[in-house]
Amino acid sequence: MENLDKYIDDLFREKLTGPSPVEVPDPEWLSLKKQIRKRNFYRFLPNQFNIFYLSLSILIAGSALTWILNSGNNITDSFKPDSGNSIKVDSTLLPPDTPGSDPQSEITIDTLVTVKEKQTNPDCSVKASGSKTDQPEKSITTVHSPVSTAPVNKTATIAADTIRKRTESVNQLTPHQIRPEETFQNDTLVQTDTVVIHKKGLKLKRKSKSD
Amino acid sequence: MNERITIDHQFVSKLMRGDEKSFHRLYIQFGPSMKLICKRYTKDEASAEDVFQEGFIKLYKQIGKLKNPESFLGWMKRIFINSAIDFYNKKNVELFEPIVNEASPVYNQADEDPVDINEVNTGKDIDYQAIRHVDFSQEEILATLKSIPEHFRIVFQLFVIDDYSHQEIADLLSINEKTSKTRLLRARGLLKEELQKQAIQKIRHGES
Repeated sequence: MENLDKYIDDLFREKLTGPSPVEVPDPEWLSLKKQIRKRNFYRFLPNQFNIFYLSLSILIAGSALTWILNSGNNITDSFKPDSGNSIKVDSTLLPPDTPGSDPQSEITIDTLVTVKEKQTNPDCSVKASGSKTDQPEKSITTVHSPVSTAPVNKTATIAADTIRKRTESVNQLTPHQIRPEETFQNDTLVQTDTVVIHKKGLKLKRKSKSD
Repeated sequence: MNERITIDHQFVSKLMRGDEKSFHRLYIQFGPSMKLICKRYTKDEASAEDVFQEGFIKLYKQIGKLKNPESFLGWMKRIFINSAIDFYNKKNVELFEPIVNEASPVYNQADEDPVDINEVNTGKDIDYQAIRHVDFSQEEILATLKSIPEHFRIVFQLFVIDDYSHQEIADLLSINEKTSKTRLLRARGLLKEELQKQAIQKIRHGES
């Protein structure tokens, strides 16, 4: 009996531990290879690209992009004509994450500013066009402001009479347009809608509060 | 790629570094024998493939823990056996339910309980000469092994083929040692019966 047990044990041991004709197909290896690659990607292996190198690349690219954006110093702010004498840029409206909103930094407005006017002063229109104004004007003017600098937490003021504006594009040319190169008059009331500050080819927009 | 690899410190270091080529060479050289382990511990081909893949990934994950490269082969074999046992333990809810296995009508719930070894049918009336007379192929042996209930087959393999002790088997399968011994005896009895059946068939077939 014991002999038979031993024989059975030996038979199974011999037949099932020897050289195997079992095949390991290539597709199975491909599947394993995929898993190995995936797992290698999440391990730090100095000689191959992995998640650590990817993170580093993203970090470097992000830093570079931030640096480029900051160096552009793009600031968008509300742009309101004051009592006719000046246009104020209320820098306190800058959100904290706006580039350049560091309390130590200053706002510099020395760029072309596009002002979408909802209504122009009739007097101004008359002067500009030489005809009477029948209805409120809607035109887009580009204002070239002088250089003005102010700390971020203060108000930057630009003297209105130094700002020159010209009509850049209008839906339809009408006799009520403001003439190009015309200066603001003291009593000009411009209701700004959107202010865009262009600099180095970048453009940011923010809705302003109407005056 | 076809040249045989030597499992040495250098090769194991490459595996530890996740070197894909080394894993491929390992797969080519030892894949078949590891696959055979998976096949004999599982019921079907699909399960064998799952266990094989799982074992390979475990090997990849745990290679860093291997301290002695000389024991790599034994260690690798254990990884695949443990994967198979894990697979069995996970899916084997029927261990705790009444089992009806048409392939083994001699089995019933009482087989699960530790019993007096002398009461277990160990195949005393088996025609020893008939079995010895026939040369079984690996496929036939594997098929015979798979014809007996899984819980018997696993204990038999762990003890007879893979040299685990009853204590180790008991720990792996969360059973007690006595159950392990009972299952081994029962497995042997069933295997003898099955082998005898096949041997007689083969002899008759050969005579005709």
